[in-house]
Amino acid sequence: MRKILIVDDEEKVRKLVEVTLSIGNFEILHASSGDEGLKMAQEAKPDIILLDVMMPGGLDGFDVCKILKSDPDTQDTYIIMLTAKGQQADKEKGLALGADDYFIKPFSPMELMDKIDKVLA
Amino acid sequence: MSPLKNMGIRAKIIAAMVVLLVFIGLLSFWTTHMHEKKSLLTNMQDNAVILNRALIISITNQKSIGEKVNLQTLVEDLSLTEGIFGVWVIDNNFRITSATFRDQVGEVASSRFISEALEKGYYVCGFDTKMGEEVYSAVYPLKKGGKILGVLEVAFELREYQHAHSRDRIQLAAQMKRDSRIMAESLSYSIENMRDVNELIHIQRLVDRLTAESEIISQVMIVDDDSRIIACDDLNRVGVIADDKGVRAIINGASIYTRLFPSKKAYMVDMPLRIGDEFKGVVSIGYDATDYYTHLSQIFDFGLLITGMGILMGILLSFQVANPIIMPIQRLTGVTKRLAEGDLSQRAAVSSKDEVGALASAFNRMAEDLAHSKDEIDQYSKTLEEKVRQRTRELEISNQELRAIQNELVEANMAKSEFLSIASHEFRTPLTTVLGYSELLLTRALTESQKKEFLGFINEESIRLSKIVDDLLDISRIESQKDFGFVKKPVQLAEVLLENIKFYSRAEIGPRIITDMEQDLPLVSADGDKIGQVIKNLIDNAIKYSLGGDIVCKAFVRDNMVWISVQDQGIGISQQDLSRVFDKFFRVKRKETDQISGTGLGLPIVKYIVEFHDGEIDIESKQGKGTTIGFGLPRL
Repeated sequence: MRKILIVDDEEKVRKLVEVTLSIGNFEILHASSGDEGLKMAQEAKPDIILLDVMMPGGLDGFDVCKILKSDPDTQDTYIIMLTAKGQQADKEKGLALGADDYFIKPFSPMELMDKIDKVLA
Repeated sequence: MSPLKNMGIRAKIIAAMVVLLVFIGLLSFWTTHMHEKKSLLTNMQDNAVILNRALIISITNQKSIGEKVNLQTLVEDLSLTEGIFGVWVIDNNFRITSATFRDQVGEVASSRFISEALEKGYYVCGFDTKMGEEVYSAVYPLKKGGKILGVLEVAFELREYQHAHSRDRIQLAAQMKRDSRIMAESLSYSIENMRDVNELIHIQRLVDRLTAESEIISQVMIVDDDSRIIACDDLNRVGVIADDKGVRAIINGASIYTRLFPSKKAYMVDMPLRIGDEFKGVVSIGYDATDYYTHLSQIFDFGLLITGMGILMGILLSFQVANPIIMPIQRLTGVTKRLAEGDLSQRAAVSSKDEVGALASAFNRMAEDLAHSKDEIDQYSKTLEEKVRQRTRELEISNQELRAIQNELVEANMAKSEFLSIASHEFRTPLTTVLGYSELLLTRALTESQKKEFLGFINEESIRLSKIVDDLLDISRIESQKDFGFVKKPVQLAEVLLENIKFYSRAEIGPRIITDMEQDLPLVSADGDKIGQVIKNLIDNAIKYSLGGDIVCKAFVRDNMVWISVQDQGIGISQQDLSRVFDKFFRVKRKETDQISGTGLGLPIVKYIVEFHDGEIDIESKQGKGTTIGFGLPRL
């Protein structure tokens, strides 16, 4: 069973993603901060990480992406940035740090589902 | 360029004076000189003619040897000479043998001169009276073989002498003395030699004696009609053909030829030698002209003296004339120089009423104008400087203000961009919930409980969006300082507090709100509605983050301000977050706040409203213990 990690400080958003992906055969992991998300990513080795950017606490989404992509153990993990930071500069920054895809909030749950199907196909 | 242009006035005046005086001196000198020269020449010529005649007569008489001497003819011939009053030959018995005046012949002559000459054999001369006429008489003894035969008396007219200037008389007297002596001598020769043969040697002897004994004859020459010299003072020249202008002129028929020999200082007179009407040759006598040249040189020296005095007088006069003109001008020049060097207080002394004085006056007026102009310019430039300085200051201030405004604008612009960035993020988060769940509701087969839950999410986030919009509009209005509806009037804050607490007191659940207000609080100037909004925001927060326990609202006076404070016993704020709670959209994110919705704009709005009332905000908090936040407005 494929593992998908959702890292977001908003519980409603995590729940939205979980419900959206519930029609597929995935194991869904939750993290509500950057630090927590990094730890879970390193331990659980998910196939896909849906990563928010602006989160309270030490690490933000960009930091987490950078660390994971520069670590050989985790650099193959498919990272989809899922953020309300919708400006072009933010998107470019994320892709430059190694993110594989960039979803801007608000997003369509159906489109996210399609993207994940394609990535895992 | 003329050198005159480079001369000073003094030099010009001196030069003019000197030139003028020297010119006058030279003119008078030249006039005198010409006059003197003419009279001297005339004098010499007359004398020379007399001598020549005398000599010619001697020679002529030698030729008539053997014949009876006609003394009377000789005397009468001599008498024709101009300047001679009369000639007498007197024998040693005082009897007149020949005379200019024929009827005197045979008479006895009586004159102390004649007596002296006959008795002592001397040559005697002096002033005498003849026939009632003043004359200069010369008496010369006629000797033959040491025996005195008689005397020759020649009387000269004194007309010229009498009319002559006293300084010339001595000279004339000396001349007459000399002339008469020569004449007497030459006559005496003639008489002495009358009986001798007419040999040329005698003529030569006559010439020799004439030149040897006469002071005034420097050269004598007798030439025959073939220009051959038959007698000469220079014996070497006898026999030689005389080839000079005078001789040629006489041979060609001239009756007399005279000329000056400056080199020999002589006056040459050439005359024809005739016996009867027959031309026999030329008699040429060099008359000593030393006196003439000496006199000329004296006149020349006198001329030099006049010139020197002219120069000296010119210089002295020039100083007399120039100083009164030049000194004021020099002083004026000095003053002008100092003025030009910048001393505008310089004035010229006006000492006279002439043109120089007028110049000095005009100069002083000019200097005053100049000083006045300079004062004006100084004043003007001072004013100008002050103005420039003031303008510069104003410009600097304007520049600073502009820079400040520019900075503010840049900051405002950056803040705006940042605000938009943050605001869009704040909108996107609730929109994600609204759009995401609504899509699920539309596309998924959900259970009833799920549907109800999701619609709740959507409703919740829609309210949040609506609240964000309201708060943003509030902030925008406050920031642009537009009509926010501030109506300031004296307000009792305690009343405003009580009014707004009423709303929360009706709530059946949630914390209790307790008031603690001082009595008789001073009034403040405020917009009651806006201050009410501040109080509501503070109480909203207190309720939202409350962990139970009472909320205490206080009203009191501190530091001349009326304070309202709201104290809760909620989750509190960390020290780190405390400084950011007034930033727009900042929300404390902790596990405890996950379920608490908010826009992050409540406290920024509070801050704005309080600041627009010139008030202060005070916040204290301890995590887990609670927060006290209050504001104070200046009392009236």
